[in-house]
Amino acid sequence: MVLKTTTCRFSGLRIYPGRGIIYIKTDGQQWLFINRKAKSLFMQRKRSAKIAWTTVYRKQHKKDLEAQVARKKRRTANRVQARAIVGVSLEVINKRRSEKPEQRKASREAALREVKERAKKTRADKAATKSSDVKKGGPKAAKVMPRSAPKGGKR
Amino acid sequence: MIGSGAVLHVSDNSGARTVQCIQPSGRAWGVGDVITVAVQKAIKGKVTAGQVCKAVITETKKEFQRQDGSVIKFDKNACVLVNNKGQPIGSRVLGFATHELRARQLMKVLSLASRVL
Repeated sequence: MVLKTTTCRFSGLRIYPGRGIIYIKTDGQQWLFINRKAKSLFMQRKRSAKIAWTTVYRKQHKKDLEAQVARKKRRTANRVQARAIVGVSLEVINKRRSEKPEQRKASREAALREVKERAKKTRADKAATKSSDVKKGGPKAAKVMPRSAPKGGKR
Repeated sequence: MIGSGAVLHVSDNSGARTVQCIQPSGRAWGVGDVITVAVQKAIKGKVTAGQVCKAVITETKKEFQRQDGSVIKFDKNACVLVNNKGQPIGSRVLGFATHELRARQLMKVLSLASRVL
């Protein structure tokens, strides 16, 4: 069962059925109060904005904002959360995500350097095998020699 | 909470402005009760000052409670002049009327009222 509630015009609190005072002015205005305290303060012409426990005051002084903000933040975080995709686990994705651009660049350069070095190494190895072939000498190597020899000489 | 001697506003067009309650106060009279009043102040109309007649209380400053627990309070004491049968003397009811009158068989007053609570 849903209870139909009204709000207190002074304090802004909820009035459940069976509670509250309706005050009817001569001009036809209806004022709903939750209890005698609210009514009394209204009759004394106190302003609800200056009384600390009313919702008007709490809104003005930003009292209940923290809870609302926290709730909002959590909701947005849930929406953005990453999922694991084919071949890439969640951990890897999160790790990549948390990296800073500088870090990413550095790792990228390191990887590139490694690749380059590997390439150089293989080339060097090839060269070494060739040179060894040359050293061994033979009818075949003699043909290659004129090409490689001047290079070596220059160096 | 209307006792003997209380002065009430008259919220109809009978001509009376204020009346004084002259009902012997066995108890405090509230909304819906028919009391005897003496017209104190009247402009030109159906009643004159000094006349004695009946009136039904429609508004009280003292809050009264309903069966459902809600409480109603007005900011003045007011009544509507009626004859001995409960028929209103004036032809209009200007202030509020409440459903408490329904229980007292004062339907004519209720039907004339523009604002019923």
